[in-house]
Amino acid sequence: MTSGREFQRRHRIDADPESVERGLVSLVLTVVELLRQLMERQALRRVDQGTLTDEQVENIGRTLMALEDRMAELREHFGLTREDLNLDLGPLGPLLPYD
Amino acid sequence: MAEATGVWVYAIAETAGPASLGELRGVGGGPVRPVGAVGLTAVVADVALNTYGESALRRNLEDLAWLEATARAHHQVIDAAGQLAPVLPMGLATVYSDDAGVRAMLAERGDHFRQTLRRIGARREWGVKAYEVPPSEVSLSETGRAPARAAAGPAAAGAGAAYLQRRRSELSAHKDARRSALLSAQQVHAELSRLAAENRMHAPQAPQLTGIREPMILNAAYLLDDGQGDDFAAAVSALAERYPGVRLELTGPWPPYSFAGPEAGAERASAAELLGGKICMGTQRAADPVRPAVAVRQDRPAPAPQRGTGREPAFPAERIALVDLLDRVLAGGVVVAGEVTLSIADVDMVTISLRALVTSVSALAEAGGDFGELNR
Repeated sequence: MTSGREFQRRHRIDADPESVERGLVSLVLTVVELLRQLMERQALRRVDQGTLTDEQVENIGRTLMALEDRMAELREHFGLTREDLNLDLGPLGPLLPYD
Repeated sequence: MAEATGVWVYAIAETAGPASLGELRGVGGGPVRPVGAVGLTAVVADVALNTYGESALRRNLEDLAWLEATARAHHQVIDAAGQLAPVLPMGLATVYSDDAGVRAMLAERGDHFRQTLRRIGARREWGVKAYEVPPSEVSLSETGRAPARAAAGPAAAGAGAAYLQRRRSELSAHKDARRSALLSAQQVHAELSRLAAENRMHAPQAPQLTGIREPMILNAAYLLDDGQGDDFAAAVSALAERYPGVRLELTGPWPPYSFAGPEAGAERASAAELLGGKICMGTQRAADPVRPAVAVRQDRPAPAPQRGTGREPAFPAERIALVDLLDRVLAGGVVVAGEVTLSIADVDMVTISLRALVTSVSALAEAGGDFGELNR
């Protein structure tokens, strides 16, 4: 299982005294960003299915828009870039699409 | 007692020509010399086993600075030898215990070496990589992300629906761009293959390794006749103009690293990449950095040589982001498992094992699941 150990070592989130906040924040924001993008894609799927009312579509859109803005603010606040919130999962590919 | 030494093999040639390398020094600083057997000549140099022995190598190969210096020295000898006569480059860190071991290897695999040398001849290797160009640089006007945003002010009715609409077109524009870039790369490869005697397809490298933000979608090596390089370079620039969706990068000429063996083309190429000025280890190697044939004693029989270009390597599949994959499989539901180690000041403190079941609400509803509060 050398590859497993290797993976763990390379993907460790290291909180040294100077960057403790940044390290934890990037971990949390990575998970949040994954869920945000996932919800966005699911929302588009649900809209395509046509089972949502116009009002629901509007509300979902507004919420996702606000979420995206919030996310950008948080990234800026902690000095993180989009790429900082992405992980290369090796053979699984990247966590989020490169854009 | 003298320091224990091993014999580092650089290349194999059919003549004694490349042996007269004069002052050239090898990887460990030792003089380069020939070892002959069965009409073949191996270009070798002695190396200290406490640095280049099997266990020391295993440790040192993980040190990228050490690896780069070693690979450069390795390449320098092969390149110099290649100027004098056609040579077959050996993989990085091919070490035998003594000259007798090298001779035994030459005798055992002689036929294979001769066949491969004849196949390659005086040809040289050229590398072509293609990167996807972001859609915004291809057509600035088409997606028009900024105007849509501005038009839908905060008070405007339907701003939410407009946002979803805009995200949909962005996502599909992205997907289309990726698909067309992949198609362009395939056509580039097909055109270039026609010019080359042989080609090898390597796994594209991840952005973290290339230091280039755009994803690499083609990483191929082409075997060209001597003096064909200028034509090939011209063909590459013509293709770059014809396909604006991809950015092409040409390197070479290299010694035929990718074509020396029938197997493991990828690891030869990563040695070549390393020498190109950047340290790029293929992703497939990152998990096991010791793979480049640490052959202190090679008892393995020679693999059957593969000849000609009959075998077309499969075009590498697109790397799908996990979020897209999740979106697609959510209908069935997935279990995400992961392990995160939190450490403070380099001391491991907490390991979190995560296991989460994720499924879309509509799939759950279809399955008749109880999703209580979730359905709004």
